[in-house]
Amino acid sequence: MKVEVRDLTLALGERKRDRRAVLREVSFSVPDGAFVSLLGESGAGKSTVLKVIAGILLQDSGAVLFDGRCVDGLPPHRRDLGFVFQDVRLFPHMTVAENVAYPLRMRGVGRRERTARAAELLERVQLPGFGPREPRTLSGGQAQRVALARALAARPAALLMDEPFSGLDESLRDDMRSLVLRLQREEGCTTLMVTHDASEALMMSDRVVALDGGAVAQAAPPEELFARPATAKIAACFGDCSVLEGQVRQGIFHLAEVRLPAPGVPDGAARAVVRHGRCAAAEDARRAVAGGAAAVGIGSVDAAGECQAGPGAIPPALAGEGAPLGADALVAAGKAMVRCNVYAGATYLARLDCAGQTLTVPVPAPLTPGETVPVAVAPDGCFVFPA
Amino acid sequence: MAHDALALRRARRALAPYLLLAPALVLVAVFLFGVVNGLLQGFGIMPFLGMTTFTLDYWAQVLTRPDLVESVGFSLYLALVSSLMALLGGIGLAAALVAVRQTRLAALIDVQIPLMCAHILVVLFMVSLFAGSGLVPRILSGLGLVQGPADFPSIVGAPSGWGIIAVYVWKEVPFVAFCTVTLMDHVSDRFGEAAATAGASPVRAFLSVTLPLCRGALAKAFLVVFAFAFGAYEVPFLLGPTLPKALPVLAYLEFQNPDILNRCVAMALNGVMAVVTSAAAIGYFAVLKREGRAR
Amino acid sequence: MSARRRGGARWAARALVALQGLCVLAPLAVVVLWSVTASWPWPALLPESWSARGIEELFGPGRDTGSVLAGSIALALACALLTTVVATLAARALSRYRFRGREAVRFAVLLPFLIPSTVFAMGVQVAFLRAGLAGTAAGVVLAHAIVALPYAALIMMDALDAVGTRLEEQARLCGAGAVRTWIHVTVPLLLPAMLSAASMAYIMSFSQYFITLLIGAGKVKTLALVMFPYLSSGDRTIASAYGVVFLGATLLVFFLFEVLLRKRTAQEIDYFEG
Repeated sequence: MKVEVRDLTLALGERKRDRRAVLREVSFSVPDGAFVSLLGESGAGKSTVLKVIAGILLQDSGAVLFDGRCVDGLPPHRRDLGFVFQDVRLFPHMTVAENVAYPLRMRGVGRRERTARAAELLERVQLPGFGPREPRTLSGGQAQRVALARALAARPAALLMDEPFSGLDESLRDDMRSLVLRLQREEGCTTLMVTHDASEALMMSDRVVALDGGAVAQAAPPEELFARPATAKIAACFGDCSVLEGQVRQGIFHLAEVRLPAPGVPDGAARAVVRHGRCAAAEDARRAVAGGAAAVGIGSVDAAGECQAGPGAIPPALAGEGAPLGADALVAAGKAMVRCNVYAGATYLARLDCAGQTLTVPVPAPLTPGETVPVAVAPDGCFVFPA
Repeated sequence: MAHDALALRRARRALAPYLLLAPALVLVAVFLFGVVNGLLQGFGIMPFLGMTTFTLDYWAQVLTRPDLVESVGFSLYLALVSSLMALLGGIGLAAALVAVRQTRLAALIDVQIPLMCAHILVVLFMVSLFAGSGLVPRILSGLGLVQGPADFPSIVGAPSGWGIIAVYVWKEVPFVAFCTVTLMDHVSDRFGEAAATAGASPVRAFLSVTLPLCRGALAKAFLVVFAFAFGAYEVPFLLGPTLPKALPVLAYLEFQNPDILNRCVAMALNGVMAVVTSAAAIGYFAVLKREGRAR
Repeated sequence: MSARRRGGARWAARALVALQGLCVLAPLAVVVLWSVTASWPWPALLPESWSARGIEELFGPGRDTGSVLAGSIALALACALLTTVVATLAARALSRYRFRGREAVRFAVLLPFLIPSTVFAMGVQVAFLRAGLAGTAAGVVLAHAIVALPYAALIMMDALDAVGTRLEEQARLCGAGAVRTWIHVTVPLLLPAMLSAASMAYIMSFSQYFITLLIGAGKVKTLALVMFPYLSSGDRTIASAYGVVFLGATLLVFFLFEVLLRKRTAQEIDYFEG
């Protein structure tokens, strides 16, 4: 079933004066059988969207459509959905099997059939024989698997999940993700999952809808979201990056002595997101420059707004060992003073001072604090947006 | 069409709370009707007798009668002393129960049993303990402090009303504890350790952290106890002195008078009672409001 | 140093709890003793001789204590049922919905806490007479329910806040309609609170004197009404016998509710905490 929301708007608040817009004209669709993630930080309105789709909350305006049919008049229990909450919500006064069979019972399925389906589903979530247990005897991961089984029990037209893994230990999450994906494929169930974990959204989804401040910031396949984020927040949400506030002049981002390519960004205040894995400092950067990599602001920025890395765009020195990254795209990006180093396992992270802000760069060995070092960045790991 | 469906669901949701409240509102309406009806009778309005003219005569009569000030004073005294003692005792009991990590048995004996006992039963308890032939005078006599049953101050009819206060304290200390112990347990659990690591002794931590955070619950319990002790009939009727009479006793005396017009006097006396307890109610409402805002 | 101080506070707390226990149990024990006492001369600390005279007189031929007791219990149970249902519905509205006038209604429901029931009872008596409710059990149950409502409503509001809407939402999403959600999820979860609200309302009704006196108009007799004249004077053995019966009837029903409650909560509480 295709799930679609159109122009959802909702303000919440007890009294008129403290009403606050939670959703602003949110539109997107989940194609039949697809897995779509709703990504956003807390307060972005993602759970609210889910609750509106489920019919728990009533929108102020806009519509929810299932296969093109408006379902706004239907109460939650007639929408034929499966729902997995972050906080599990197993009924404490029913056994595990009764919990799983509950949606079937509500749909008038006979006892024998629903017992069989419950047993089958428990087996598929790797909890065979757990039927007679009480929910309180389950671990967090087991309980969430029961909740998943229950959500799928009645073969719902769509599965909605609200941060289903964030209550679980890190070690359990990967298993749960695979399990969810496998079941989703097997059942062919249209799925919409809310998450604040960007990498989770990338790994699991066919498509990601990023929400910010109650509005859709970007809706795209995961690859596009990662490679061409539409906003600084989306660019930064994958973690391991530095966020810098500076000025753009003629397609180049300036902050202290750091220069970053900002093709097509209008002049004025701007915010840059630099991914750790796509920048270098000191020796690495020096080699890149010595190898003929263009410096930002020296190399040309062409009329189409594409950053041209200059003639020696592929610094041979960097292609060899010791290079922290695929050096093909590195461009020189000015210099900055080393403030300190932290040890991060595989590498050290050097914290470079840019007019009080911090640019973090991975380095093979600690740099001398106080020293000013050259910096280089890969344009595909550096995003500049008007502030 | 879809929009109508949404509007319909919205209307149903808006209506639901009022439907759920309807039965309670009926009860509340009967209560308010009774109170207002009574107060109106104090102004001479008794439609069932064909009296519909508003008059202040009965209030004037009541306010000028010589025993009113004493009655109001006596009732205020009983209510204030009882509720203050109940408040202090209740705080102590709740704190003690929290400190000993209250067991089910302690909670049952110290709090629940007294909550279950009717006030009139507590009158019997206090009489059995403190009357001339009661247990306490016997013990005192065993210690050589009291000569005979008549030496011990009488619990019934004492002008100080100590018997009445004893009943209320016995009954309401556990009530105050009941109203606050859960919150207190929660608060001292959450902040007690923080206060201790900040260097506060248990007593200091209790006074500076736990008690202020339980202020609202304590204020509400105090006001409920005060209003009850001020307006209850049974205990002062059974144990109170002939004069002064507690206000509810005086009002019911007038109410019972065969002359129906005395009802108006009784109701004016009730009006005096309502004025005093309304002050407690306003205080209670203020606490509710503050809590609502804090949340 | 501070460990010693803490130890001191702990001991003081234990002493206080024990003292309160003594204050509660001592009068109970004395009343129980009196109820089976034949003679207890001054200044003996224990009765001299025992007899079942008190109980015999209460339930002896020509006395209607048995039927009065049964009537009181029935009345209190009816009040408990009515109050609990009304309070549960009202608490649900107050804790689940945000609507105009919510604070005012919340306050109004709690008002019988603060306006004395004497004012209410005297004021409403005529109206009850004219409505044909005075002197009937129904009228008395109604009046008792009004006084018990704030207690029950507070208990239910706390319980609803604690239980939250999570599981109800989940049931709706599993396909249960409003009624089935109520039956399958809400009521089972609220049952412990409903039992304590009912037990509270039962006690309130069973203990009422003044309201029963005025609304019952002498036709509805409860144990509280019958024992009242004996309390402060007269035959101590008879009064204590009444007291024991009264206490027994309260405790019996309380423990009945309590047993039902334990059965449920034992298996559920920790799930919510965890």
